[in-house]
Amino acid sequence: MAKYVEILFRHRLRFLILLVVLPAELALACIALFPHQTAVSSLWVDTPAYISVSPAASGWDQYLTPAENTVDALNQLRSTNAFVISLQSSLDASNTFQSAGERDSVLSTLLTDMVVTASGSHLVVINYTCPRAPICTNVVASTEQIYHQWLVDQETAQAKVAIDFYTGQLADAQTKLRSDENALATYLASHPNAKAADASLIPELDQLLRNENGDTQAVSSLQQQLDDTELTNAAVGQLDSTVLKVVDPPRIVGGRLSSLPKKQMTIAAVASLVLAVAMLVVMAWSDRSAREPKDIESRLQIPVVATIHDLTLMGAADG
Amino acid sequence: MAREAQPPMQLAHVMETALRPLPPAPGFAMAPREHARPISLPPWFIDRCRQAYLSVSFPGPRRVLGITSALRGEGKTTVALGIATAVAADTGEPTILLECDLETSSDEFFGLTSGPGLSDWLEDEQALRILRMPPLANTYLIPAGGARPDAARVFYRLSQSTIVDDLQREFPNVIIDLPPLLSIAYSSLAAKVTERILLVARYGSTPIDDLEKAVFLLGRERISGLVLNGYTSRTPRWLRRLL
Repeated sequence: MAKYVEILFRHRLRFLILLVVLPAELALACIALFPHQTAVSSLWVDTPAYISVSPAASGWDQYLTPAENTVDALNQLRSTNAFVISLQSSLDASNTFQSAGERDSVLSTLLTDMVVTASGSHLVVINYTCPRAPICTNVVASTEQIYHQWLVDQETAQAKVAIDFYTGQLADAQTKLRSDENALATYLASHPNAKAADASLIPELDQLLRNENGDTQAVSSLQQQLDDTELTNAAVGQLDSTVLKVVDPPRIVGGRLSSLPKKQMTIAAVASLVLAVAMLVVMAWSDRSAREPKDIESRLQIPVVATIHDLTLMGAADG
Repeated sequence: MAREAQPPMQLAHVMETALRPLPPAPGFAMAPREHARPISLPPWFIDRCRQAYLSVSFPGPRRVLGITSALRGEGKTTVALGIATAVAADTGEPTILLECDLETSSDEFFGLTSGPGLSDWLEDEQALRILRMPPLANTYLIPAGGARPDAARVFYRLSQSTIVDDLQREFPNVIIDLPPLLSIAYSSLAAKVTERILLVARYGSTPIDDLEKAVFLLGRERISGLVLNGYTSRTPRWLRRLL
């Protein structure tokens, strides 16, 4: 350890260059080579109580706030390839990119350059850093749009499943109702003297009437549920627009500091540090000379009885 | 044998002359004596050298200490001079620095003009020179002499001689500047000259692998410690304490 520290101090100018001057130069180069802008957008997520069917995507945690659930869903969605493909299509359609290289570069770093955070219980903030302002705003706007469409698709699919289910149930209930109505009509035809008012006196008629009433109520209930689901399905787009609102549309924010290419600067700093450490290790490894008394004593098993500081007159000695 | 070639009487005579020169005859001036004038070491350097020699345990009142290094240019001669100065200052006893690095001349370092030295004396070519090293009156130097191509053979003669023992009769403190171990082929001989050796390494320069080789050549039991020279840590002191 002492050897490394000694080398560090002995070659302090070199290490100062490696640890301070070089990172500073690289940071300046990064600023020049990697111009950056930051776009910010805010979303308000709500769950209106008067809508019977929640527009929230399936799998939301009931113990998290709407904002936290949205952040979670957005982060998962952003990591899918389908999202990248959708985003690419959307951005290509709006002629956002100047070249294919720029598009590939932006899309490949999307996951790290975009940060989605929950700011409070309902507010979601999307931060995105990219080389040019139009890219930043378009990417954020497209992300919001894709997320919104994803929610709509999710809910439409869920509604469709529910409609299919209720339609099947309703058909079964209607078939049963018709069957029971026929059975009742057949009974009344074969017993012309029997009246519905006498049902309490005739158990068989009473049972037939009960069956018919139950079937009618079931059909009515299923029909109501089916109507509600169809209504929700028809209005799912509008419901999502109500629940997920863009409070602040994407806009470029921040001064010079926030627009610095922090990632590249961090890489440059880490690279310089690694270089300095590697240089230190190589210098320590290649230095086989006697330096620290403790090292000498442990290596030679001989006590260092005196250390004499450098005497400039030593040059006159013969040795 | 070097011992046969250099009768003890001769060495004793040289030491006697160096330590107690005869006064001039009446009416004559004192003959000028050659002095070594090594580089001036700052007090903090000598203090660190003092710290080094004080950490070495000597069996008796006499101190014989070898200073060596793995490679050239690590400052062992300067450290040897610093230790000799510190010992002389602390003990007040005659202290001699014996230059045994026969392959490199240290004359310039010690402010000497070229002249004979230990190697020439070992080869029976010249008388042994023992020079005073001011500013302390009790510090002396035996220079190695000129650089020799046959240093290994001469050093062998040194290792076979009793010069260190003989010197101890007059000089309780003998500091021996040995050659760098990995730069010579006779490092095993160097290890025989003295029982206690301090290894000098230069901070940030001496490869730790070379130090390991030097330790292996000398034997860990002979090495009293390591002096880390040219220590220039850039780590702040408070951080060093934490580490």
